[in-house]
Amino acid sequence: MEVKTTPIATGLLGWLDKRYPLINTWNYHVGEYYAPKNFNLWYLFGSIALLVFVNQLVTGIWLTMNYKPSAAEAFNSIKYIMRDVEWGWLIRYLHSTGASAFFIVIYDARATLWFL
Amino acid sequence: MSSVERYEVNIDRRKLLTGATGVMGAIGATFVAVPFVGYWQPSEKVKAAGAPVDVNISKMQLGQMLTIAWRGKPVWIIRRTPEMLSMLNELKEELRDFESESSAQPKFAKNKFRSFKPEYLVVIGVCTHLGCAPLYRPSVNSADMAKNWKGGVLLPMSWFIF
Repeated sequence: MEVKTTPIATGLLGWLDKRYPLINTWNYHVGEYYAPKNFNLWYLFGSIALLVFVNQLVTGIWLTMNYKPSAAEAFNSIKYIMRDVEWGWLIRYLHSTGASAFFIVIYDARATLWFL
Repeated sequence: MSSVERYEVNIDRRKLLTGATGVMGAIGATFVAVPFVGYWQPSEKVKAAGAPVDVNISKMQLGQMLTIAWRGKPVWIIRRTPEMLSMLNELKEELRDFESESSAQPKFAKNKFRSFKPEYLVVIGVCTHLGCAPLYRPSVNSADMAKNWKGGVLLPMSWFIF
Protein backbone atom coordinates (compact mmCIF):
# COMPACT_ATOMS: atom_id res chain seq x y z
CA MET A 1 0.00 0.00 0.00
CA GLU A 2 1.16 3.44 -0.86
CA VAL A 3 2.18 5.33 2.23
CA LYS A 4 0.63 8.77 2.21
CA THR A 5 2.64 11.69 3.40
CA THR A 6 0.56 13.84 5.64
CA PRO A 7 1.34 17.50 6.07
CA ILE A 8 3.09 18.03 9.39
CA ALA A 9 0.58 19.36 11.85
CA THR A 10 1.50 22.20 14.16
CA GLY A 11 1.15 22.68 17.88
CA LEU A 12 0.63 19.80 20.29
CA LEU A 13 -0.56 17.44 17.53
CA GLY A 14 2.52 18.21 15.49
CA TRP A 15 4.78 17.60 18.50
CA LEU A 16 3.11 14.23 19.11
CA ASP A 17 3.12 13.28 15.41
CA LYS A 18 6.86 13.95 15.19
CA ARG A 19 7.48 11.30 17.85
CA TYR A 20 4.69 8.84 17.02
CA PRO A 21 2.87 8.40 13.67
CA LEU A 22 -0.44 9.42 15.18
CA ILE A 23 -2.09 10.97 12.12
CA ASN A 24 -1.07 8.12 9.81
CA THR A 25 -2.26 5.50 12.29
CA TRP A 26 -5.61 7.22 12.70
CA ASN A 27 -6.11 7.56 8.95
CA TYR A 28 -5.01 4.00 8.22
CA HIS A 29 -7.27 2.36 10.80
CA VAL A 30 -10.16 4.81 11.16
CA GLY A 31 -10.21 8.01 9.12
CA GLU A 32 -9.55 6.56 5.66
CA TYR A 33 -10.19 2.89 6.38
CA TYR A 34 -11.66 1.14 3.39
CA ALA A 35 -15.19 0.26 4.35
CA PRO A 36 -17.10 -2.49 2.55
CA LYS A 37 -19.67 -0.99 0.19
CA ASN A 38 -22.40 -3.36 1.40
CA PHE A 39 -22.63 -1.72 4.82
CA ASN A 40 -26.19 -1.25 6.08
CA LEU A 41 -27.89 0.00 9.22
CA TRP A 42 -27.61 -3.40 10.94
CA TYR A 43 -23.90 -2.79 11.31
CA LEU A 44 -24.74 0.01 13.76
CA PHE A 45 -25.16 -2.70 16.41
CA GLY A 46 -21.38 -2.96 16.58
CA SER A 47 -21.09 0.67 17.64
CA ILE A 48 -24.06 0.31 19.98
CA ALA A 49 -22.31 -2.67 21.59
CA LEU A 50 -19.32 -0.44 22.34
CA LEU A 51 -21.65 2.24 23.76
CA VAL A 52 -23.42 -0.26 26.04
CA PHE A 53 -20.08 -1.72 27.12
CA VAL A 54 -18.80 1.72 28.18
CA ASN A 55 -22.15 2.29 29.92
CA GLN A 56 -21.66 -0.94 31.90
CA LEU A 57 -18.14 0.05 32.92
CA VAL A 58 -19.08 3.56 34.07
CA THR A 59 -22.33 2.71 35.89
CA GLY A 60 -20.58 -0.30 37.44
CA ILE A 61 -17.84 1.91 38.87
CA TRP A 62 -20.47 4.35 40.16
CA LEU A 63 -22.46 1.55 41.82
CA THR A 64 -19.40 0.25 43.66
CA MET A 65 -19.13 3.66 45.34
CA ASN A 66 -22.11 2.73 47.54
CA TYR A 67 -22.40 -1.07 47.27
CA LYS A 68 -21.13 -3.16 50.16
CA PRO A 69 -20.25 -6.70 49.00
CA SER A 70 -20.95 -8.66 52.16
CA ALA A 71 -23.76 -11.08 52.96
CA ALA A 72 -24.96 -8.91 55.82
CA GLU A 73 -24.87 -5.53 54.08
CA ALA A 74 -25.38 -6.17 50.35
CA PHE A 75 -29.19 -6.01 50.35
CA ASN A 76 -29.33 -2.94 52.58
CA SER A 77 -26.75 -1.12 50.50
CA ILE A 78 -28.83 -1.76 47.36
CA LYS A 79 -31.93 -0.44 49.14
CA TYR A 80 -29.85 2.61 50.09
CA ILE A 81 -28.76 3.13 46.47
CA MET A 82 -32.33 2.79 45.19
CA ARG A 83 -34.03 4.99 47.80
CA ASP A 84 -31.57 7.48 49.25
CA VAL A 85 -28.62 8.05 46.92
CA GLU A 86 -29.26 10.89 44.47
CA TRP A 87 -29.98 9.37 41.02
CA GLY A 88 -28.94 5.98 42.41
CA TRP A 89 -32.09 4.33 41.00
CA LEU A 90 -31.21 5.57 37.49
CA ILE A 91 -27.58 4.43 37.67
CA ARG A 92 -28.65 0.97 38.88
CA TYR A 93 -31.36 0.61 36.23
CA LEU A 94 -28.87 1.74 33.57
CA HIS A 95 -26.58 -1.04 34.77
CA SER A 96 -29.18 -3.83 34.97
CA THR A 97 -30.95 -2.87 31.73
CA GLY A 98 -27.58 -2.41 30.07
CA ALA A 99 -26.66 -5.98 30.99
CA SER A 100 -29.71 -7.30 29.13
CA ALA A 101 -29.23 -4.84 26.29
CA PHE A 102 -25.65 -6.01 25.87
CA PHE A 103 -26.83 -9.56 25.06
CA ILE A 104 -29.37 -8.33 22.52
CA VAL A 105 -26.94 -5.95 20.90
CA ILE A 106 -24.07 -8.44 20.76
CA TYR A 107 -26.24 -11.21 19.25
CA ASP A 108 -27.60 -8.75 16.68
CA ALA A 109 -24.10 -7.57 15.81
CA ARG A 110 -22.88 -11.16 15.42
CA ALA A 111 -25.93 -12.11 13.36
CA THR A 112 -25.28 -9.12 11.14
CA LEU A 113 -21.79 -10.36 10.35
CA TRP A 114 -22.88 -13.95 9.77
CA PHE A 115 -26.09 -13.53 7.79
CA LEU A 116 -25.95 -10.17 6.05
CA MET B 1 -21.62 0.46 -9.83
CA SER B 2 -18.52 -0.45 -11.77
CA SER B 3 -16.57 2.75 -11.57
CA VAL B 4 -15.53 4.49 -8.43
CA GLU B 5 -16.99 7.97 -8.43
CA ARG B 6 -15.01 10.85 -7.06
CA TYR B 7 -16.76 13.64 -5.25
CA GLU B 8 -15.56 17.13 -4.59
CA VAL B 9 -15.27 17.69 -0.86
CA ASN B 10 -17.34 20.64 0.32
CA ILE B 11 -15.04 21.86 3.10
CA ASP B 12 -17.53 24.40 4.49
CA ARG B 13 -20.29 21.82 4.73
CA ARG B 14 -17.93 19.34 6.36
CA LYS B 15 -16.90 21.94 8.94
CA LEU B 16 -20.55 22.78 9.64
CA LEU B 17 -21.48 19.12 10.13
CA THR B 18 -18.44 18.43 12.34
CA GLY B 19 -19.22 21.50 14.43
CA ALA B 20 -22.89 20.60 14.76
CA THR B 21 -21.97 17.05 15.80
CA GLY B 22 -19.58 18.43 18.41
CA VAL B 23 -22.15 20.85 19.83
CA MET B 24 -24.88 18.19 20.03
CA GLY B 25 -22.39 15.81 21.64
CA ALA B 26 -21.42 18.40 24.24
CA ILE B 27 -25.07 19.06 25.10
CA GLY B 28 -25.71 15.32 25.39
CA ALA B 29 -22.63 14.81 27.56
CA THR B 30 -23.81 17.56 29.89
CA PHE B 31 -27.19 15.87 30.37
CA VAL B 32 -25.51 12.51 30.95
CA ALA B 33 -23.17 14.08 33.51
CA VAL B 34 -26.09 15.31 35.68
CA PRO B 35 -26.98 11.95 37.32
CA PHE B 36 -23.36 10.86 37.55
CA VAL B 37 -22.28 14.03 39.35
CA GLY B 38 -25.52 14.13 41.36
CA TYR B 39 -24.69 10.63 42.61
CA TRP B 40 -21.81 12.18 44.57
CA GLN B 41 -24.02 14.66 46.41
CA PRO B 42 -24.94 13.80 50.01
CA SER B 43 -28.24 11.93 50.19
CA GLU B 44 -31.18 13.14 52.29
CA LYS B 45 -30.34 10.43 54.83
CA VAL B 46 -26.80 11.77 55.26
CA LYS B 47 -28.00 15.37 55.37
CA ALA B 48 -30.52 14.49 58.07
CA ALA B 49 -27.79 12.89 60.18
CA GLY B 50 -25.73 16.09 60.01
CA ALA B 51 -28.60 18.55 60.35
CA PRO B 52 -28.79 20.96 63.32
CA VAL B 53 -30.42 19.44 66.39
CA ASP B 54 -32.75 21.45 68.60
CA VAL B 55 -32.51 20.69 72.31
CA ASN B 56 -34.66 22.15 75.07
CA ILE B 57 -32.24 23.17 77.82
CA SER B 58 -34.69 25.25 79.84
CA LYS B 59 -35.29 22.43 82.33
CA MET B 60 -31.65 21.53 82.93
CA GLN B 61 -30.54 21.47 86.54
CA LEU B 62 -27.31 23.09 87.64
CA GLY B 63 -24.49 20.63 87.06
CA GLN B 64 -26.64 18.37 84.95
CA MET B 65 -25.32 16.81 81.76
CA LEU B 66 -27.42 15.99 78.69
CA THR B 67 -26.14 13.63 76.02
CA ILE B 68 -27.62 13.93 72.55
CA ALA B 69 -26.70 12.38 69.21
CA TRP B 70 -25.36 14.49 66.35
CA ARG B 71 -23.71 13.02 63.25
CA GLY B 72 -23.65 9.70 65.06
CA LYS B 73 -21.52 11.11 67.88
CA PRO B 74 -22.50 11.86 71.46
CA VAL B 75 -22.66 15.57 72.20
CA TRP B 76 -22.66 16.72 75.77
CA ILE B 77 -24.46 19.76 77.08
CA ILE B 78 -23.37 20.57 80.60
CA ARG B 79 -24.98 23.30 82.66
CA ARG B 80 -22.14 24.42 84.89
CA THR B 81 -22.62 25.86 88.34
CA PRO B 82 -21.09 29.25 89.24
CA GLU B 83 -18.69 27.37 91.55
CA MET B 84 -17.46 25.26 88.65
CA LEU B 85 -16.82 28.36 86.60
CA SER B 86 -15.00 30.20 89.35
CA MET B 87 -12.88 27.14 90.05
CA LEU B 88 -11.42 27.44 86.54
CA ASN B 89 -9.18 30.29 87.72
CA GLU B 90 -7.63 28.08 90.40
CA LEU B 91 -6.66 25.57 87.73
CA LYS B 92 -4.93 28.09 85.50
CA GLU B 93 -1.48 26.64 86.14
CA GLU B 94 -2.53 23.05 85.50
CA LEU B 95 -4.40 23.65 82.26
CA ARG B 96 -2.43 23.62 79.07
CA ASP B 97 -4.48 26.08 77.05
CA PHE B 98 -6.32 28.15 79.61
CA GLU B 99 -7.65 30.89 77.32
CA SER B 100 -8.35 28.59 74.33
CA GLU B 101 -5.74 30.41 72.28
CA SER B 102 -4.12 27.50 70.47
CA SER B 103 -7.06 25.12 70.12
CA ALA B 104 -9.46 25.38 67.19
CA GLN B 105 -12.61 26.96 68.59
CA PRO B 106 -15.33 29.04 66.97
CA LYS B 107 -14.78 32.75 67.64
CA PHE B 108 -17.59 32.97 70.20
CA ALA B 109 -16.05 30.14 72.22
CA LYS B 110 -12.47 31.42 72.20
CA ASN B 111 -12.48 32.18 75.91
CA LYS B 112 -11.55 30.40 79.10
CA PHE B 113 -15.04 28.88 79.37
CA ARG B 114 -14.95 27.57 75.80
CA SER B 115 -18.59 28.39 75.36
CA PHE B 116 -20.96 31.08 74.09
CA LYS B 117 -22.74 31.42 77.43
CA PRO B 118 -20.30 30.49 80.22
CA GLU B 119 -23.02 28.50 81.96
CA TYR B 120 -23.51 26.02 79.13
CA LEU B 121 -20.68 23.86 77.83
CA VAL B 122 -21.30 22.04 74.55
CA VAL B 123 -18.68 19.48 73.52
CA ILE B 124 -18.44 16.32 71.44
CA GLY B 125 -18.14 13.52 73.98
CA VAL B 126 -15.40 11.61 72.20
CA CYS B 127 -11.77 11.63 73.26
CA THR B 128 -9.46 13.19 70.66
CA HIS B 129 -6.75 10.65 71.49
CA LEU B 130 -8.21 7.30 70.47
CA GLY B 131 -11.93 8.06 70.47
CA CYS B 132 -13.00 6.45 73.75
CA ALA B 133 -15.83 7.84 75.87
CA PRO B 134 -14.74 10.08 78.75
CA LEU B 135 -16.48 9.85 82.13
CA TYR B 136 -18.23 12.74 83.83
CA ARG B 137 -17.33 13.26 87.50
CA PRO B 138 -18.73 16.67 88.37
CA SER B 139 -18.56 16.78 92.15
CA VAL B 140 -15.57 18.00 94.10
CA ASN B 141 -13.53 15.16 95.63
CA SER B 142 -15.52 12.39 93.96
CA ALA B 143 -15.09 9.11 95.77
CA ASP B 144 -13.25 7.28 92.98
CA MET B 145 -11.06 10.23 92.05
CA ALA B 146 -7.69 11.45 93.23
CA LYS B 147 -7.32 13.97 95.99
CA ASN B 148 -7.99 17.62 95.19
CA TRP B 149 -10.34 16.63 92.35
CA LYS B 150 -12.18 19.78 91.38
CA GLY B 151 -14.82 18.13 89.27
CA GLY B 152 -14.52 17.44 85.58
CA VAL B 153 -14.07 14.71 83.06
CA LEU B 154 -11.59 11.88 82.83
CA LEU B 155 -10.60 9.28 80.32
CA PRO B 156 -10.95 5.72 81.57
CA MET B 157 -8.33 4.37 79.23
CA SER B 158 -5.36 6.64 79.74
CA TRP B 159 -6.44 8.45 82.89
CA PHE B 160 -6.08 11.86 81.39
CA ILE B 161 -8.17 14.39 83.21
CA PHE B 162 -9.71 17.72 82.23
